[in-house]
Amino acid sequence: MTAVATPAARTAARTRTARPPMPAGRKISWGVTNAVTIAWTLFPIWWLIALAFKAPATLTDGSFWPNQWSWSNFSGIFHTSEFVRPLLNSIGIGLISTVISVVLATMAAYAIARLNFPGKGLLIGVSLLIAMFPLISLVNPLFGIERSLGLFDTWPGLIIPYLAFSLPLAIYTLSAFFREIPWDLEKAAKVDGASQRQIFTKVIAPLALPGIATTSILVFMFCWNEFLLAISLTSTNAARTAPAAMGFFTGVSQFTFPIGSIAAAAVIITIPIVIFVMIFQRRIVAGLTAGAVKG
Amino acid sequence: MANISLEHVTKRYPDGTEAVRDLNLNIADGEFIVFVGPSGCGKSTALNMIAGLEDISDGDLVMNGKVVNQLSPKDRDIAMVFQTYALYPHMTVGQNMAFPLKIAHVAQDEVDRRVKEAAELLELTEHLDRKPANLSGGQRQRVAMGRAIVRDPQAFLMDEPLSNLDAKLRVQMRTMISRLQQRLEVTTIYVTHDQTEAMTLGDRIMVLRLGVMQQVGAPQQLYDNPANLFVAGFIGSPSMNFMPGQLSDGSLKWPLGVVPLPPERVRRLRDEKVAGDVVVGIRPEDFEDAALVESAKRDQGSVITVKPDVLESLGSEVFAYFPVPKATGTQAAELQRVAEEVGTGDAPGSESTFVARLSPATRAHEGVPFDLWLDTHKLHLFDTQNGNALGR
Repeated sequence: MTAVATPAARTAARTRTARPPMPAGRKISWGVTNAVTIAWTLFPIWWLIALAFKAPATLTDGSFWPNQWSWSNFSGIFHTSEFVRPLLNSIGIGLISTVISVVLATMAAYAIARLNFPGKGLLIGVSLLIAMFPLISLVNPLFGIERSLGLFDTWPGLIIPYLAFSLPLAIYTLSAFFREIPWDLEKAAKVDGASQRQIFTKVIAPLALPGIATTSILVFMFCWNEFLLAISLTSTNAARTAPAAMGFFTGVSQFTFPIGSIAAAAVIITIPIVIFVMIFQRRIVAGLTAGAVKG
Repeated sequence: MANISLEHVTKRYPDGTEAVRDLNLNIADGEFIVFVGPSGCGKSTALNMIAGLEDISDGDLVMNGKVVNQLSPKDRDIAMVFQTYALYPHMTVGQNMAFPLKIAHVAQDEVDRRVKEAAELLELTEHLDRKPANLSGGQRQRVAMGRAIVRDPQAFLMDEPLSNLDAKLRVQMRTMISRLQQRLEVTTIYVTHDQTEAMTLGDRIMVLRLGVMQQVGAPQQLYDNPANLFVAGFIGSPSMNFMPGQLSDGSLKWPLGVVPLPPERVRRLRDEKVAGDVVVGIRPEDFEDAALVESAKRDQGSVITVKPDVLESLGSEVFAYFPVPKATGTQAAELQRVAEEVGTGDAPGSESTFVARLSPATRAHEGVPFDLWLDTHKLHLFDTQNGNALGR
């Protein structure tokens, strides 16, 4: 009898080896840690949402829960061009910068990962240097340059510096992805009769897609969140982006602080980022494991 | 189908190193030729030059009478199978195989027909819709073959296609490749570092060492008549035993005693004016337990007494390992270099080990001296300076 285990015992043994039960104490400590972390990170966001939904009269009642739910903050910001136009600017400038940056970076990163050309090390070094440059030190010169070139307070006036600062990041991220793609694939495509362009479009780019998606998110978030240049290089709603515009919000009267409008605007500008990340989330995760795929 | 000629082909890198030096070779239409050599001998570089993946620094590559040095890979109409298989991970098996045809704008129904045909030939039909990641190593290898076959190319180039497979599968795939090549009758150039693969697959074998062609010929010819010390050591498993010796008066003096050489051999050596120091080589199977050799045959050879320290019985044969004094002097350096290159370097110490392949009927025991017969007709002699074979 000792030698023959009952099916139930066997199942139990298997379950035990598969997932050892966690001691109660450990479970509680983990639960508490998780709860604290989640509360810590989500609390400011909740506060923001609560403020955004409070009626203007109850804004300062000190409660973390809107006693009176109201859309008035949202309708308020959407009824003036003070927010709608900057929001459109943000979307436009963000998307254009992202597309140009990722397209250029894809080609540059491919060259860096695949080709040996003189000055390659210098190129990588300089692009990293640019990425490390403190933005604030460039605000003054950029202001002067853009004013004399007529770029001040225009879309290109923001897109160009955004490209300069997002390209190094994009090139660096992408070249890591390209380096993961086995050389042999390219040789195989070459022998299979593909031209250099076909090799890139049909073999290399599809394989680098997770990397391109990841990079797009990073670049878009950089452009979307950028505040310093946005507020320094614009003066009107012609090019002012949403984060900058929020700094110019005024209250209902000159004596009211526009905290409700700012909270509502903050909620609005968070939404595109959330959508963007949700769409590409799977890609980002896939991107992290891209190296596991063997040719 | 194509015949391919390499005429004084050289690959020189910008830093001056020559990966391939003055390679001359004529590959006949439909021939299966194997480039073999230790790693870094230039065999893959030679293949890449034929494929068009690397530029030819000097010399001409001629396909069907036309110099194709400047043609890009896609215009050479060759198919290649890579060691890593190089399957496109984002495409299914079917798409992988159809890729070269799609690129060449072949009509869809023709693409389908050819892919189906190749899939049947390679037993891949039920896997056509799967991605390479979901295939076993052997299946991936077959897909890579399939991608080459559908093209119906002028030539197949294979760069160590079996070295990522486990030993058993490798043997299976080896026969499959052999059968496939005989059926398709396409000129095939196969690169490997494995001399067994080279011996079993090739119509002819080219042995390369440090970018220089050592010998080219049929497998048996290379085995029986190696042109130099390197080929002798590289071809054959277990490899040939080497030892320094001295020629005088038609007999060979070496650490295992004095062995008289067959008269015709002596005559040829005399014609070549060879005398003095030589390197002697003998294959393991040219030994036998003296007790098992018939007396008629026994007189063709010579008998020495050795004390084996290890006996390995494989059932069909017994390998006897016995120590011999290690070579010293000028021959020793050359021997050591060859041994390192072909991967048979001895363990450090004052003695080398000889291997003899004996019949399983042998009565030899470990640590007990016994009489070993060796076939003096099968002795290989090499020049101590340049390693070239003597008196062949």
